[in-house]
Amino acid sequence: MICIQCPVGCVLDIEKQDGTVFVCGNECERGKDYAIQEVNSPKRMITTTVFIQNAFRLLLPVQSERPIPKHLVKSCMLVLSRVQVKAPIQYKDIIYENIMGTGVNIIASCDMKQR
Amino acid sequence: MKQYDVVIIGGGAAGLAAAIEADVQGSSVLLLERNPEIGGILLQCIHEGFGNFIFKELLTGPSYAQCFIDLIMKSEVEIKVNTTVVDIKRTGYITAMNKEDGLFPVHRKSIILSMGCRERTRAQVLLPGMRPSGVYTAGCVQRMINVEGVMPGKEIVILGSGDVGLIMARRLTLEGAHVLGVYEQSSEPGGLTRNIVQCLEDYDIPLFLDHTITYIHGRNRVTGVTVAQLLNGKPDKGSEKHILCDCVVLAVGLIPDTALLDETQIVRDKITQGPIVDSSFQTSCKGVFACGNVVTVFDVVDDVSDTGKRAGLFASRYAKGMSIDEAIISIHIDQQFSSVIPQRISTISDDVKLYLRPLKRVEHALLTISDESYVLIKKHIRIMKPSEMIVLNLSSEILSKIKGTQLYIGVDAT
Amino acid sequence: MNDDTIRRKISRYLKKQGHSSIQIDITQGIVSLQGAVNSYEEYIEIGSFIGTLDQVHGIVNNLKYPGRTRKKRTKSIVNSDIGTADIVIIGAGVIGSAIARELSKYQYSIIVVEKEADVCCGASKANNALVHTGIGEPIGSLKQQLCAQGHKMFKELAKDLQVPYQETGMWMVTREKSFNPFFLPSRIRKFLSKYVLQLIILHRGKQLGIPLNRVALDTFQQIEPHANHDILSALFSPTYALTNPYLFTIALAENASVNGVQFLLQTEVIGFNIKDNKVKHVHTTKGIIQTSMVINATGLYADEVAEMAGACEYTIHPKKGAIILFDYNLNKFLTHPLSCVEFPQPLNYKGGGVLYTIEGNIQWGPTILECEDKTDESVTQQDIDEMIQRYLPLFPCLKKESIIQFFSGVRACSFTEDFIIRPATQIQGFIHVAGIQSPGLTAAPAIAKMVSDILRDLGWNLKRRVEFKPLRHGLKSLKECSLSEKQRYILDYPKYGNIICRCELVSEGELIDAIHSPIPVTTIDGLKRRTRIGMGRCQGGFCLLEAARILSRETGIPLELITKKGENSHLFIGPAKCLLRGDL
Repeated sequence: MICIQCPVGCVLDIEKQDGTVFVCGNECERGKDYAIQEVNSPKRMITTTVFIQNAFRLLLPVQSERPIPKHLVKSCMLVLSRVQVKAPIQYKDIIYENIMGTGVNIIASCDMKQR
Repeated sequence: MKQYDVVIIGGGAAGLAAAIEADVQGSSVLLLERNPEIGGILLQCIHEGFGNFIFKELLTGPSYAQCFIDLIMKSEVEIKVNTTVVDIKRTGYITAMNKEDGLFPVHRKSIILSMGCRERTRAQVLLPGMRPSGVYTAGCVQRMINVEGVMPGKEIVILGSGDVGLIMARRLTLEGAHVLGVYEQSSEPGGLTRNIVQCLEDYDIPLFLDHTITYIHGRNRVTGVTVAQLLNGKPDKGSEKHILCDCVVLAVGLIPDTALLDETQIVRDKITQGPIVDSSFQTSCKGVFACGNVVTVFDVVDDVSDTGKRAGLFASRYAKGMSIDEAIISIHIDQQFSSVIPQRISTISDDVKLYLRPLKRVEHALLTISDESYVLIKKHIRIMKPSEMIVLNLSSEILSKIKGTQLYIGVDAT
Repeated sequence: MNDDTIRRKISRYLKKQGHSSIQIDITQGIVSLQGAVNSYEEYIEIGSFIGTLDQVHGIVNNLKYPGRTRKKRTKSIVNSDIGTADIVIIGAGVIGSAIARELSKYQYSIIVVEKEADVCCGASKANNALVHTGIGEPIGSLKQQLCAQGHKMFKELAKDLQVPYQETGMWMVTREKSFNPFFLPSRIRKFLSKYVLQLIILHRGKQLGIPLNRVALDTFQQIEPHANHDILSALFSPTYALTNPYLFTIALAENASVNGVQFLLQTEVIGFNIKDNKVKHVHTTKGIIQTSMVINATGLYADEVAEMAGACEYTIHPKKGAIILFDYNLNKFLTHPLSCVEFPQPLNYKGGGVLYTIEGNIQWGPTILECEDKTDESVTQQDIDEMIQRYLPLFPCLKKESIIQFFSGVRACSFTEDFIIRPATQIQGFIHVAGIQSPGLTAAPAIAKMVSDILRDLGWNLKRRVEFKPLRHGLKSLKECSLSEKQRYILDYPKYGNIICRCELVSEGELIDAIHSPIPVTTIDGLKRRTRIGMGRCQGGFCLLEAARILSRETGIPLELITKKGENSHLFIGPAKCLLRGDL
C-alpha cells in the first residue's frame, strides 16, 4: 500500500496478525495511523451531484459530511442518482439523511438560488 | 462611463480573491466574468481537496468558491457576469461586451488579469486517427457530467495521468461508466499519489506508464483506440493493442489562457507562456497585474487565492497612486526547475512567496537560494516532483538582506 | 486513336507488366477491365496507365485485388412517393450546390438529394481553399479549361453570394529539391532549379494566358523574411486567390434553396427505375422521386451511383489529402501563400504549400495519398510526418505547438485524372459530373454552366425565371463588423451581446441566425462551418457544450440526441446518471 498522507508516498508493508496490524516502511507516525485505518475500516468521502429543480442549473454538487465506509460508496452513488431536490438550497443543507445506514448525512456543497 | 480603481478580468478563484482584497483596501472594483456565474472552474470541481491551507479543511470546489462568493456578495465589488472582454489593445484600452450594456469600454486605473487556463487539445499533441464524436478533453467531460447533465460515453479510455485525468477516471466510474485504462506517456504518473490511490487503485483502473494512444478509430463516433508502449520516446509498433471504447478523454496538460494578451506588449515567460510578473504580481506593463493560472498553472487552489489576494492588494495600492516598486531583483533558476513565479522581486517590506516548478524527480534535494555573494536559504526537500509545485516563503528579513539585483535558486542533490 | 489501337497499347503494356490474363473490353473509348492483380498498387498502376492514353474517355476498373470486397446494398427501398421534379441533382457538395444554383435560374423544378445531414460533407469541406489560375493543370485537359473559366467567374459570384474572396496572389518558389532527377549532382540541380524551372513555368503561363511576375530573390526575401533562405527563385502569380470552400458551398446551396430548389438531406440514393433506357424514378432511403433527368454529382460515390443506373463508365479511386492548421498568432510569418514547385510535376498533384486560410490561419497541405477506403478521412502519423517533412523546411519558424487542427479530405479521382462531365451513353436522362478533384472548387461555377449547356444540347429549353434572386445575404459575423455596427446589432438584438465562443468571438445571436438559415442546421459541424464556433484555439473546449445546448433549444432536438455530423455521431450517450439509473 502507498501512504497518501504527504507527498513522499511511503510504500508500506502491512501484516495483519491476530487482529493487530503491523506496519513498516513508514517514515512517520501518520503513515502508521493511515495504514491501520485502511486495513481495518477504509473510509472515503463521497462527492457527487444530485438533480435539482427550479434552479439555474440542473445539478447540485453534494458531499458526505465525513468519510463513509469504502465498500458502501457504489451503493450510495446509486441511491443518490435517484434523488431530486428543489431550489433554493443553502450550503450545508442536508440533502439525504443517514445514507445507507452509515449515520452520515449528504449535504449540499454550495448555495443554489431559485430561478 | 464610470472609471474604476481596479478592474478584474475573470471571476474564478484568483479573480475572486483579488476582488475581495482590493475592496478591503478601499478601491472601487469591477469584476468581469464571461460565464453566467462567478466561481470559475471551481464550480465544476465537485471533488474534495481544496482549502487545506486557507481553511484548514478539505473542501469541495463549489464549497471553496462559496466561501469567496459569500464574501464578495457582502462587499462593494460590482460584478458583471455573461460579460466577455473582447480585446485589450496595445494601449491598454479594454473593450467588453454583454447583452445589457452592448459593447462598452472599461475605464480603470489598474487591471488584474485572472483568466485562468485552458486545456491542451488533441491537435496540439498531434494524436492521429479519424475525427469521430466522443473525443473530449477532461475538463470538458467534467463540465458535461457535473454541470450540463450529460454523459459523454460508457467505455472510456483516458490519455494523461495528471490530476485532472485521475479525478475524471474516478468521477466517470462513479457515474456508471467503465474506465478501461489511463495511459501516460511519461514513466511517472503526472498527478498526486493521493489521486493515484483514491482514483485508480480504489476502482481497479489500470495505469499504463510509458504508453500513448497512437490512433483514434471511428467514423461517426469513437469505436476504439490503438495504444502502444513508448520506446525511446517513440511508439513501439510491436506493442500495439486495439482497445474497444466509445469515448476518449484527453488530460494532456493545461496552458495559461493568454489570448487577450496577444495584442498587448506584455512580456511572457517562454516556458509557462504566461505573463512575467514581479512579487506584486505586476506584469511588464505598469498598472497591469496578473494572478492565478493565467500566470502559471498552479497545483493547489489556496496558492491561486494567495496570488489573487496579493495582486488585489498591489493593484489597489497602484490605483491609489502609491509607489509599489521597492526593488528590482531578477530571479534565476537552474536546470532543475522549469519555472518560478514571480520571475522578479519588486517588494521587500513584506514576505514574498516563490512558486517553483521542478523539472524532474529528485529525492533528498538541497535547495539553495543565494544572492551574488551569499547563500541566504538552504532547505532540504524530501522529494521534488514535476507534479508538485514547491512553495517557498522569503521573509522580509531575508529580502532586505539581498545584495545586488540577482537571486539564484539551485539544487544540490545530497 | 480508335478502340483497336487503344486495345493494342493496353495489351502490350499488360504483357510487359506480366498481366496477360486481364480481360479488356473497349466500347467507344470506355475501357473495362476484368481479372485479378496482386495488390492495390497494381490496380492503381494499370488504371492510371490506361488513363494516360489518348481517346480513353473512362475506365471501369473491376480488377480484383486482395481485400477488395463487393459493396453490398443493405438499404431497402421505401415505396412512398416523395416528389416529382424536372431535375434531380444527387450530391450537395460544392459541385452539386453550384449546379443547383445555376439551374435554379431556369423554370424547372429541382430536387437535390444528399445522404449526409448537411450540405458540404464530402471533400468540399476539407478543401484547401485556393482559387487556382490553372497553371498547374495539364494543358488541353477539361479541368484546365474549366478552372480557367471558373477562375474568371469566381470573384463576382463570391460577391453576389457574400462569400469571402481575396486575391492574395501566390508565390511559386523553387529549391534544390524542386528539380527531381536526384541522380544529378547538387550543383546542377541548384542551377536548374534557380534558372531553368522559372523559365518553364513562365512559358507555361504565357501559353495559358496566366500572368506571372518574376521577382528578384532579395525582393522576395524582403517580403517574406521568414521563408527559408535556401529558396532559389520566386515567381509571383498575382491572380491566385483564396476563398472559404465550405462557406461557398453553403452559400450556393442557400441561394439555390431561396430560388426554389428543394434540398432533401439525410436522403440516400439506392437505385433507379430505368425503362426503355430512360430514367423514370430515383429510389432513395426516404422514398421515390419521379424525374426524367438526373445529375450525378456524388463525388466519391459517382461510380457506384452510375452503376446503379446502368451507366457505368468510370471507376473512382480515392486520394486522401491531409491539411494542418496553425494558430492565428503565427500569421505574421507569412505575407502571401507559397507553393514550392516540383519538376517534373508529379501526376495530378500541385504540391500544396504553406498557405493560409482566408480567416488567417497558416495552413500546410494538402498531401496526396492513394488510399483504398473512400471513407478514410483519417490523419495518420505518416500524414503528419510527411507534412512536417514537406512544409516545415519552407518556413522553419512555424512551431508544432501552435498547431490547432488537422484533418483530411478524400479526392474523387477518375483514372483519366480529368473531369468527366457529359451525358451517359447507355441511358437517357443521366448526366455524369464525376472525377471532380482539384481544381474542382475553382471550376465549380464553370462546371455548373457546362451542365446547363449540356441540357441545352439535349434539347432542353432553358427559360430564365424572372423571380431569380442572384444575391444572397450571408450570415452576420460580429467579428467582422465595425465597433459601431457591433453596438447597433447588440442594442437591436441583445443576443448578439452574449459571446459563446471566446476564441472566434461568436455570439448567441449568430448561432441562432445560422440554425434558422435556408439550409437548416441540425449538427454541431454544420453550426461550426457557418459560424466558426469551435474553430479557434480551444477547438470547442469551452464553447461546445453551450453551442449544443443552443442547438437543442432552437431545433427542439433533445440535448442527448445532438450529433456532431448526423447519423451515429452523438455527442453524448444520454443524460447524467443514465448509466446508474439504467435509463439507456
